[in-house]
Amino acid sequence: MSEARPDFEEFVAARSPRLLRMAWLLTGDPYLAEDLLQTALAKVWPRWEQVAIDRPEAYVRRVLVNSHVSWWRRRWQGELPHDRLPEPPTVADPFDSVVTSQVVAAAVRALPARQRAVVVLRFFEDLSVEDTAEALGCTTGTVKSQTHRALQALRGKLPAKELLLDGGRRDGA
Amino acid sequence: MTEHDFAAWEREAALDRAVADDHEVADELRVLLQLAAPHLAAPADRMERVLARAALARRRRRRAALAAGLAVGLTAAVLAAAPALAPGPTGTVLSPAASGPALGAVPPAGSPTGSPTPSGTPTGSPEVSPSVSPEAASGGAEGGAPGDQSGDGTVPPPRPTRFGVLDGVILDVPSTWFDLTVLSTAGRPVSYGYLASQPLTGEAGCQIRNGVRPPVCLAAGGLLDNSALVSVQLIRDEKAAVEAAKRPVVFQDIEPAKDCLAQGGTRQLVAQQVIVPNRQAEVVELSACLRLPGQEILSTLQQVATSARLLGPATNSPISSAD
Repeated sequence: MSEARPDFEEFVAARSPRLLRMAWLLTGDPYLAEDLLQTALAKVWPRWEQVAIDRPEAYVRRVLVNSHVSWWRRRWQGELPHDRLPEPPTVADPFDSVVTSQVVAAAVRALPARQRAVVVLRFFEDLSVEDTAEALGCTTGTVKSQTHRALQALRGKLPAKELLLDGGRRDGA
Repeated sequence: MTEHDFAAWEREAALDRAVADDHEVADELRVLLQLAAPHLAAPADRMERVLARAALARRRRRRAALAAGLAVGLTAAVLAAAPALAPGPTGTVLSPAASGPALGAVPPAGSPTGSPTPSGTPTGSPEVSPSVSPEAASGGAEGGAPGDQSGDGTVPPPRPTRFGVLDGVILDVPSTWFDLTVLSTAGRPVSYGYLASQPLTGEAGCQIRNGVRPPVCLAAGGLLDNSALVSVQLIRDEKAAVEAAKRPVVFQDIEPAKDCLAQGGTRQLVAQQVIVPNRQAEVVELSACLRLPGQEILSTLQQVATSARLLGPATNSPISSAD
């Protein structure tokens, strides 16, 4: 087995938590998220010497997103976008922050892979339109149109953020 | 500015206006995503797994390059040998010259010298249920490892199982295992046979995952330790059969697929056996997803793979309809 370079190990240790959260938003599944992250890191590892020179996280992010889009195209999970949310969680308690977070995740997962990637890069990773376009290898116009479509699709499906913020404080604590 | 440039500029401006209108949702989404994404625990051996995957990918690339450089004469020789090995319409198994020994091999229970059996339409029970004897079911329900011994310490003989839709291929399945055939549908163009060392459930008993109901799943919800879920499929591709015939019938490690990992699998193995059902070589591919496998289950898998044949008495695998 290849020996890991210390700087690669440091990068993985430092940046993986954030990248894993991003992978979770893309896949909606903790196992697939870990798998996606490992797939991306394994692809990056042989080129690490070149990658490490200039914005390695941007490169890994790009590999991660493109790997996910590639999985989605191959339908390895038979995943399909739906107008309606799949498996809508039962909101027994509207103030339950865990359930509300599931609603957010389900709404994002219901988007087509490309739109989902745009949403995650723009609004989770806080990338600019230009950086998102670079990460996805498309034009800024495409990013804008995909963003607009995604936000249109999400409109009305997202819970109020106060539900997440106040989830643990409903007793007035 | 040309007319074309102006049109592009106008489109861009319209998009900018649309995105500006989305400002409120975008701000809300920014906060919600940060709050919704969980902080997942990292596996302790993540780095080792990443390096193992990178090494596996490198080996695979090397193998592919090597295979591409193989002499055409070898291919031609195998192609020429195939008809000679297929004496009749009932077919035979094309045994590769370099066939590796089974790990702890035992002779298959089903004798290939029996009377030929039809390999057309399957006649298995239509209900979705594992074809297993009651005594085996009680052992399997606990997710016991394959090759479980009966009370007197003897290992029960394997159960020859025919997959009718896979051109009637027969595999010797441990008697404590479960099997199921899943027919192709418009959405799933390939029929599969499934074997598992723990109880299997057909589509009707599976939970929807990512908006799709899988055709088969494990009753326990995932793989138990030292357990296996094996998919069996037929690759009707003579070229692939020629390639497979050059290799010994031994399981090779591959990178675990997403669906294997989702079942809790820690290791995935693939083996190919060549059969010649109708004067045309085909590949029977067994893909095993395993969770923390011991040596015994690996040996059992090897025996299952090497037992692939077309002739002999066998029980038809039950069929899970896609309804």
